[in-house]
Amino acid sequence: MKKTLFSLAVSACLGLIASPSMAKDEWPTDTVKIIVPFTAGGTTDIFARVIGDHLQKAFGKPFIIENVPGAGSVNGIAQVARSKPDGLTIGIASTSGLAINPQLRPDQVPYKPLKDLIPVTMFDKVPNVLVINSGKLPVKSVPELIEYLKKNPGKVAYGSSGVGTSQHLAAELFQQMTGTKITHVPYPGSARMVTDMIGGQVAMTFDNVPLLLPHVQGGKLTMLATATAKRAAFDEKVPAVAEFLPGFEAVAWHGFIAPAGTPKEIVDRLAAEVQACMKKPETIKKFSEAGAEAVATSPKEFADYIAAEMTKWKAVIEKANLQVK
Amino acid sequence: MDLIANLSLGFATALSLQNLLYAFIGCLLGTLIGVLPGIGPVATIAMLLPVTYGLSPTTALIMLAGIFYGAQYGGSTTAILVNLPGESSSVVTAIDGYQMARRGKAGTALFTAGFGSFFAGCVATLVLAAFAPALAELAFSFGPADYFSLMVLGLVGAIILSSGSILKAICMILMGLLLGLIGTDVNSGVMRYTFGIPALFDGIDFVCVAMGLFGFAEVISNLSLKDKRETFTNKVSGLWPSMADFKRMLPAVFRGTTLGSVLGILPGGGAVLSSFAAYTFEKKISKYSDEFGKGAIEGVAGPESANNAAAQTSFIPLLTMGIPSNAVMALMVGAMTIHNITPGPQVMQNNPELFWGLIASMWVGNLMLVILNLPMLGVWVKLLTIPYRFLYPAILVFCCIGVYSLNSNVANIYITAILSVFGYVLAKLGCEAAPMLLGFVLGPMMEEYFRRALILSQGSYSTFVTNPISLSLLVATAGLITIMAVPSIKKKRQEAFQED
Amino acid sequence: MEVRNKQNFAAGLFFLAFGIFAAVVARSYSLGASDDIGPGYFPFWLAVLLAVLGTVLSVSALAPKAEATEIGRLDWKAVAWIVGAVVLFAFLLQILGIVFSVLVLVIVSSLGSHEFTWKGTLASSLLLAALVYGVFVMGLHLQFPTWPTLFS
Repeated sequence: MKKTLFSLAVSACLGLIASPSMAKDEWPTDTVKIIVPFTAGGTTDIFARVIGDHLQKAFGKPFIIENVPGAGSVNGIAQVARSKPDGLTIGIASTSGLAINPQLRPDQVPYKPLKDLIPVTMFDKVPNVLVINSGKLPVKSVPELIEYLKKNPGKVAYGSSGVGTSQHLAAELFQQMTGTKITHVPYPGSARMVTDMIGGQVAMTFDNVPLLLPHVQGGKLTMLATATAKRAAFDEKVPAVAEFLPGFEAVAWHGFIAPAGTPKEIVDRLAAEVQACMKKPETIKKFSEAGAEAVATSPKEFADYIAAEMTKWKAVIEKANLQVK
Repeated sequence: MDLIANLSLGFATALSLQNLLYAFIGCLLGTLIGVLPGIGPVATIAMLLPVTYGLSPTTALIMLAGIFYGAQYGGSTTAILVNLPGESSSVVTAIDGYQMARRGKAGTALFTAGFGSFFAGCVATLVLAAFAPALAELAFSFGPADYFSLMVLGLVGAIILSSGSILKAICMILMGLLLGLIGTDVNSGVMRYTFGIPALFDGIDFVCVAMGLFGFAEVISNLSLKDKRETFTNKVSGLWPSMADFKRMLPAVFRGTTLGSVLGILPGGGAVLSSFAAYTFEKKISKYSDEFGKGAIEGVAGPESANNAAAQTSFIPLLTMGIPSNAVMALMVGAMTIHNITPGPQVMQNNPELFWGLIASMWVGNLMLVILNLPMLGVWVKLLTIPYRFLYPAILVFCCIGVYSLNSNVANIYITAILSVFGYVLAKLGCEAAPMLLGFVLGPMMEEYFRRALILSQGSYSTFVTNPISLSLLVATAGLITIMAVPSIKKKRQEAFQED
Repeated sequence: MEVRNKQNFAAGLFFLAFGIFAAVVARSYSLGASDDIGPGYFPFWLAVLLAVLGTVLSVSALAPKAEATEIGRLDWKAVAWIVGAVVLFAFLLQILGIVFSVLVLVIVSSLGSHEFTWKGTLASSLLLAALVYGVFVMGLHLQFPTWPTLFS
């Protein structure tokens, strides 16, 4: 415990002597905290730890994970936005925290994504897939499904892992692009939704691959298509919804963020190293086993992507009149 | 036979030196965090998950499972000794267990809890091994309407938890239901009763409510008693139950185990309901129903067996279908994912040593817990001899750390403090906290299932009576209400509580 | 008219007040329709029911046959010491870190006991602080500020 006090004192003194430019060159001067806005043990947490390990080795300073779950990732991201922009606190954010929630419930989200936060790099895309219970829906393909839904407006129920998740909005986008009406049944998380999918309480869903895939392979559920722009890497035989509905894409993605004001040099160094990590074969393998696609983008590319996603989901939210007060 | 071959594979895995060691570490840690009020298995498993990266998946899961059921054991110890339920499953244990302790029978209560848990653990492990796939199907046949009716049955049963006025018990349940609704509504995304306070967006955590209403409120009550606070240590009788105790306890253990094994399979509330259901059931059929609330041994034996059996069988949906039925199981999914095992029906075929090893380790773990806990009985009872002026600050410290560690947020401590004032005042007005806690746990689930059932039936209320499972549960509820309303029984009930 | 069952009378009023408050707030949420029950439906009707039952409880406490009860004295001093210590702990945690905050919590809460002695309290506070450090910081690696953050 003496050591902690001592190192605190030393770093405080260093902070007084060192000039700002030096701090940038020397970054990271101390332990870097990665705020993960989800509970430990979830996919995002696991991914953060994989990348954190790499960063730790690359920069020679500890990168520790702090889990700040709650309010659908808003709590954790808000904490990043409030942190000192010295590069020692960074965070992870996802589709719902950056592109959906700030527009779905603007009153309750205490940050503006591209104003209070700096996008560092996006590191993965988690494809949603369109899965049905074939005992409940007599269809074998996306066109058949659309036709069936048009004949039975409001009669078919789809499950989602919650209001304002990318899975919920994927289904809304699908309805808007096909002109169909499906009944929304929200669940608190995917697990119980999948139970009800298998039990036939709800007939279709857009959700992540990991929980669904075993049941698709086991024959209890049928995967009609992926919600990615192109066919997904995990199974090239499964068509993309976009083949029938050009432009349809609804993926969940994750990326690193930093508080606004974090020096550009630090953001660039961090982004470069995360990109290097995402290009390693073992990272790609690890991510694909968990149902995600590893990607590597520059800060600029990530910022543009967030802006595009915000525009896209804003339109869907407005059209479906989903905004919550 | 397959089962025997499978179990022998399981035991061969579970009894390897490394797995034994980690099962032991898991049980020990689990007991420790279970005994410490407020620190639950969810927080602990979440913290320790990264530590298990380096272990083999089977070993990692064995250890994490050990923490989970070890915490169930440890949790009942605190509930009995200091009236502090750290988990929803030990709320009912606190009712009669604490009263037994006050009457000098802390040792007997602890032994009963341990024995009941061990027996239930053994039986549930066998159930798990023999019927896991068949039982998993049962969970799928439960639709939202059925769950709703199950919750209704549970809430009506909660009235029986109370030993005082029925009307007050119903009011307390309603208060609990309302408190449970605080937070983001699952169906609409609307924030209810949050008043713009971010810490309330996800609702109040169960641990805050339990620590506030039971822990802090009890401390305040005891402090204000001044010299009148009874020291129940000078009346400690033997640790071992008498023959008469045994005779009363055994059938309760059997019944609790059965109830728990069945209810534990249902995701979303099944395991929580099991201990309450067992208590209600015991109180209804017992010859000594007037002793309930004052230290009836069945009131400890039944629920404790039920919650341990349910803890064990709640692994069934996870192991057979890859579907987590509660927060701990969700972390287990995370643990499997880390080790590149996709939880799901194929685990049994692809990783038989993991599947059967984990099951066998549960039995081994239960045995370890008994061996670990029996010699500890004396030590735990000794804890009661610590003067209260030293004991209560320690309770406060552990409660505060427990609620803080839920999500590293001090707001939880403030919420708990407010609830404790609430709990203290209500206790002064003769209102009991246990029915309120059950309402708090079941309320949001009940609403969720109710609304989901109606969305799926397109607004037709008949869905609750056309579903055979739902209908029979509602009939059972009506039966329970009739029993409570029948004058003769009511009279007996009132007589029993006149002396209060 | 005489309030015979004072406990029930006060409890009933409490439930009535709580129910009215909850119902009023619930009015701002939509009640919805039967095929899509709104977020206000459950809280509103539960709150109304609570208010009604609270009224029944209070009124029945006035009945001549009602069991006579008294409300025990509320010991606000005990409440203040305990709640005060806990709130102080929560407030200090971010500034002083867990170790010193535990010391404060133990000492302040002990002051509420009529058996308080400095010697015993200091000893037990140091013991608990050490235990907390060993078990939660070193053992379980829980995430909290451990030491004062005066430097940063």
